[in-house]
Amino acid sequence: MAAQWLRTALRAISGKKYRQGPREQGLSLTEQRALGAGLINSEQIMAYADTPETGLPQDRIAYGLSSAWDIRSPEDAAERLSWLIETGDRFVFELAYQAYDEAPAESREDDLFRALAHSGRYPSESALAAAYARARLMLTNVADTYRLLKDPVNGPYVPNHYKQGILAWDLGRLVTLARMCSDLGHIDERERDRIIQFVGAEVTTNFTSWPIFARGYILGRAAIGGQGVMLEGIIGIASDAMTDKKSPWVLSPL
Amino acid sequence: MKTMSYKPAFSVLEFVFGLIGPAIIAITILFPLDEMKVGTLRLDLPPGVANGILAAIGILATFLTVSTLVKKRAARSNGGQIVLTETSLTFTRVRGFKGVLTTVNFDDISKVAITTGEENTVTLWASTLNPAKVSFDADNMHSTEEFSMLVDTVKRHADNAAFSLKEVSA
Repeated sequence: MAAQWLRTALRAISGKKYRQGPREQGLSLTEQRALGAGLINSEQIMAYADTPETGLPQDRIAYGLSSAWDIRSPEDAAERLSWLIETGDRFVFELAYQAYDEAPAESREDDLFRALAHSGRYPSESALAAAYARARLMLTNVADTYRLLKDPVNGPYVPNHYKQGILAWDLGRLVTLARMCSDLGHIDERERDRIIQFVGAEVTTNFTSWPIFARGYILGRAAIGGQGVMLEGIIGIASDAMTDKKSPWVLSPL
Repeated sequence: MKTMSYKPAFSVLEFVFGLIGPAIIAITILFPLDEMKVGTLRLDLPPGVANGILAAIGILATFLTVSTLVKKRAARSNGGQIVLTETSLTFTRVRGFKGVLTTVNFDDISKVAITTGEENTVTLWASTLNPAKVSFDADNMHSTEEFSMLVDTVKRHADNAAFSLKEVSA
């Protein structure tokens, strides 16, 4: 365990990016795009950037899944993956941004609650309450970070970018989560590959460049975590991924 | 349209400093000085010159204090408020010793700098303003909610502005 953490720390210190895994056969374009969607996340956790397997030790995956996602069983994994595929944070973000953009400050939270309640997506009061709590968090973070976000490639993020949503944020996490769950045996390889195909197809359909994808991912992270050190780190990883000549995004543009 | 209070406060410290100038003047009247000594430097001056220099310092200190108080009073004139509409922001700007109502269109704002943390300020730059820069401090507002509302409105309406954020820590 200590040796693994030491290796991880050394890799982080050495600045080695875009880890390459053992490649037995080439990836299809759809698979490359799916792994590209998870690139920021992969770099955060130092997973392989070019194979469906993460290459991470089992105990690290188990810790990551339980601490960040509360996933401890195949049932948990199926539930979280299904949530990311169907709704993710993008649905609530859309309503939160709409409330921020259209409603006066004093009535935003009420408008947001009404929009969630009328969406028909939350069958129980507890589900609605959980969604409302997340939506309020997003509303606060959107207000705090609005007009203040930028990255070296896209420049400042303008209101229209918010309207384009945070699908990238959900897709990036979905593909990485599927890979981790598969490595730990919570889902089988067939299910992982099905998700990879889904993510790859969504990327092809919805994005015309990796910088646009990165912008959506950063907006999603800002909506959940607000302005802070972690966001700066994510913007740094995304900036490198958009410009580094060895980056999969640069080597294989959309 | 939203209206919020913006009144630079008079501080007790300013009133206390305000007494220093008159005190120096009183001393120069009551106690004739023969010489001036600054550290090891000793100046032999003609009679009355030392008192004159000190009196001038006292007058200057009094003028600075009084002008600061008058300027603050001017800034609090016209209702001492910021008025926000869908297209513009109106506030009182001090010109000389007078408070002048000034309006800036959101579209004319080219730059916005926000500070948070120990200091909460929002500074705007617009070529239509003279001088081009104006700052608003949360300390001069009725509540932090009103300051947040001001920042929020500027963020949502100043479409042509470049924004920056600075965290100020103690």
